[in-house]
Amino acid sequence: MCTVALAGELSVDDFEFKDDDQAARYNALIQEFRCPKCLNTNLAGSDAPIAKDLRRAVYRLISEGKTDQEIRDFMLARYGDFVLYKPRLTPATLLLWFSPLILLLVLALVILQIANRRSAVSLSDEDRARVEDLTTE
Amino acid sequence: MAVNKRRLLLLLPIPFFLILLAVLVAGFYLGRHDVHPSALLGSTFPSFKSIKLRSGQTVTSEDLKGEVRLVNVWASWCVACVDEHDVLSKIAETSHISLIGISYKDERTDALNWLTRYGDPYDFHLVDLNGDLGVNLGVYGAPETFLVDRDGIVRYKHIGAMTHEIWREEIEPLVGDVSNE
Repeated sequence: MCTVALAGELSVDDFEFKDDDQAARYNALIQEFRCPKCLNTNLAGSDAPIAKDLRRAVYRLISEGKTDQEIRDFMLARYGDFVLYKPRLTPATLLLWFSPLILLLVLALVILQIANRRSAVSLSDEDRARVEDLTTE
Repeated sequence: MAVNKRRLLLLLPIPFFLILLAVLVAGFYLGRHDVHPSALLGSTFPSFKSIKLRSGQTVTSEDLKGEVRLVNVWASWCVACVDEHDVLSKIAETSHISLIGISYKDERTDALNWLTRYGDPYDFHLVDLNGDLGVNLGVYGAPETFLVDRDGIVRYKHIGAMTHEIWREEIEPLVGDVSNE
């Protein structure tokens, strides 16, 4: 099944690249894509058969001279947004990106209100006298 | 009054939470069959050139057109494929839909033996030895099933074993639609 590897650890594939630049691009790209069958592993860190196939596809596309963006488009067209580790900013993912921030703001507002409430409690003179009476016995 | 306004703001998280809960529950029920809807929905079936499993005859994506097809990705090493085999056989038998297999990353002899053992309700099988067609289809693994219309457009994708429920509720209605187009 799927093996979770340590961050930065690469699966062993025997790919030969034309130059170091291609090899570097390959290593970067296979960390960008999520292994479709594993919940939270990138292509670099997965032993799943589909991950191997996709790594091979990335290698082939690099060798064919495709740009990084073209390779991302290739993956997106076939596997959808789920294949990208970093979700794109689209209307559909707006809530995904901003709901933590919105939630934080709401919480901050609430906390502020509680704090204000505590410090803003003011007693009328009459009530203040009553409190003094009750507490000094 | 000042106190009421504060109370109101204090209670703000509650409707926010309820809305969030409603969204999540709705999302759950809407998505229970379609965890990851195929990126290919509405697109043309990927162009391919392959051979038929039994005859070795050349077959391309053009050959799928002209008829509504149920394309099923399977393999002899796939356990769930055994589970869905009866379901697919029944579907092919009762609906007369054209059932096309993709022999996915499987040795020819293993695939043929499997079909001999369990039966072969398919019209024919495409061979995808190294999974390249699978990658173009956005396949996660076997089994997966696609509904493809007469023009070669992918209309539905199911990940995992086919069930009578999925067929009846999700795919069969579409078959009716696409057959009348």
